[in-house]
Amino acid sequence: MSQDVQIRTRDNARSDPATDTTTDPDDAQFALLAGEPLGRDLLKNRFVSAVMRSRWYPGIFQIPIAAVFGLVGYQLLAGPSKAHENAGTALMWVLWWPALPLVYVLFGRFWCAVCPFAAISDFVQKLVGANRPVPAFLKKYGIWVIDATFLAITWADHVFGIVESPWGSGILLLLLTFSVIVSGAFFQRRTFCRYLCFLGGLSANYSRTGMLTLRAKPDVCATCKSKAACFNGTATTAPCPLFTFARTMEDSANCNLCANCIKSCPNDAITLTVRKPSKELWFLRNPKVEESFLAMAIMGIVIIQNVTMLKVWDDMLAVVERTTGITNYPVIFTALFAVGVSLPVALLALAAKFAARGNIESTMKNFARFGYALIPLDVAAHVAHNLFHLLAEGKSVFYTVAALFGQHQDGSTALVGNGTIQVLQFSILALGLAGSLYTAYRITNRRYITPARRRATLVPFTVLIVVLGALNVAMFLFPMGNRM
Amino acid sequence: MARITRKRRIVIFAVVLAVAGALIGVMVLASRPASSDMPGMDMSGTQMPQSSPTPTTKSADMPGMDMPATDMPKSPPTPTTKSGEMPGMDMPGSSKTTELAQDRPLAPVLGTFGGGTAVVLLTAGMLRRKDRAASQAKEAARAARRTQK
Repeated sequence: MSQDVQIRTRDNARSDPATDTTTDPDDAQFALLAGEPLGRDLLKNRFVSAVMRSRWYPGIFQIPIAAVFGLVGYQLLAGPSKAHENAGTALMWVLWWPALPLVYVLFGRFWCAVCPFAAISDFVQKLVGANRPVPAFLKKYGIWVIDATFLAITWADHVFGIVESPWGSGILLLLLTFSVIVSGAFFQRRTFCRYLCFLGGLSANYSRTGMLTLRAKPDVCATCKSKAACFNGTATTAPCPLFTFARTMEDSANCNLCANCIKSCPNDAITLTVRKPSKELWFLRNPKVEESFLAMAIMGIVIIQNVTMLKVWDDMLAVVERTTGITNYPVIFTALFAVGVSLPVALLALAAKFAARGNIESTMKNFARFGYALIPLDVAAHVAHNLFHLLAEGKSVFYTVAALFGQHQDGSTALVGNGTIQVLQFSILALGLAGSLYTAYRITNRRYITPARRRATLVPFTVLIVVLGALNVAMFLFPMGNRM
Repeated sequence: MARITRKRRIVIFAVVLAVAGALIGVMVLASRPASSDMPGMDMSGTQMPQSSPTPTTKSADMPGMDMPATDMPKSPPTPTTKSGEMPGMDMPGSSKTTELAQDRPLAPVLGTFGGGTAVVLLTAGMLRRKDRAASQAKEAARAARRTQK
């Protein structure tokens, strides 16, 4: 092991409220386990260090992205009314949205550092910000608000056709912008990004699988006398926008790699390391029910998105209409949506119930802990789904943007053939499936010492992961419909 | 204690979700009573979708309607990419894409957005001034006390 490799010391190991049971024989050992080992520090590289410490970072990315988003907003609200002719729709739903989960896997929550909405929030804050503290309600229930918003937006997309309608997408952007302005005007830092942004919830979960991670060196922090400069900022550097204290940070969910802490730390205690995807999930100490719920809800949303793009969706609607006599699409969709989203949640609850019988812990604790094991499969299914839009409709971005400059081009929107896309989709799903199975195995082995407890825990969750993986594979076997 | 908090969270979440869903559902039902544009439905009423008041784009695609596309919008890059023709892609929202640009209520929407933003910025600005005035008064009082001593 080189000198650059740090191991997180045990001073971060503390008892986990979600696993606190005085009768649990494995608690003592679990509490003593070291945290996630960190790899080679990228900040030792002069170029990376210079980029991250530069006062132009992340603004240098933020400015062009904000400009493109301005164009997207203008196109959506005032451009062509047909989705396949609108550059805003193509840039937003064919390029940006499908590429986003990939960015999370590669760079963690980096997108949030360069997000134009964050830039708006910062600008409004500088202009008129009242800088009130974050309401206690948001701190406590913010993640549930995010869960609800995510579900509501997905539901609204299908009922009102937001993706297919540039106007609908434009209204969504305006609503988001207004929410960001309100949050930036009244509350500290990036309250919206941390506690309200539906995309923030998604990115928080997905960034746990991210390959870039930022942490503080605990041994250096222990001697720090700078009054938490990494959290509070300095005269020249802004504080952490997502209210994360680097010294106690145990996961990447609320780190957007904005590098404020790197710039403000007087002791060079911050490290930026590369790690294996999903590694963070193997070492989680404080699992939360709401985050597990979100992971499963996203799985449900991906399933719904896939199903609605298949021929079988029409048949399902017809069956529901025949059996119930209901002909109202929003009502039928709402019912099917509720079933689709509830299915993975219910399956996880069922697996947790079975696991609870053999591993002493409660169903709720099992639900909270092993929902995270599904995140790799979650990300894989999402990426595989989005890959279709990115690769089968990718050229629509060129066509629509070229049309803005008077260059009208025709042709297929596909970047590669359907066969290639399917091979990629199944490869990604296989990786996700393997990642989820391995994560469940690591979490189980870390948490429980007794082989019987490990077996009793691993079997139901393995079955769950295989079932959900098979469901996704089955859906990707059918040809999907384009939206551009 | 932790258990109660979790249960509370779940109950609150469920209630919020149910209320929001019910509200939106009522709004949708009130605004879209017919399901004429429902995919896979045998529409005997043959009503046009409410959101596409003019048969501008779809008529060219209809069987037996081989009209010379004079003022029709240009066809998409390839026939395979037309969402309306793809299996499972005739979602109700897709009819909204046929809206004409001039039918969009851009002025009222932007007006509401701009007005709302202005109110928020003004309120926040006033709050900031008030907070600053209060903190300055506190500091002045403190300084006065120090000089008195």
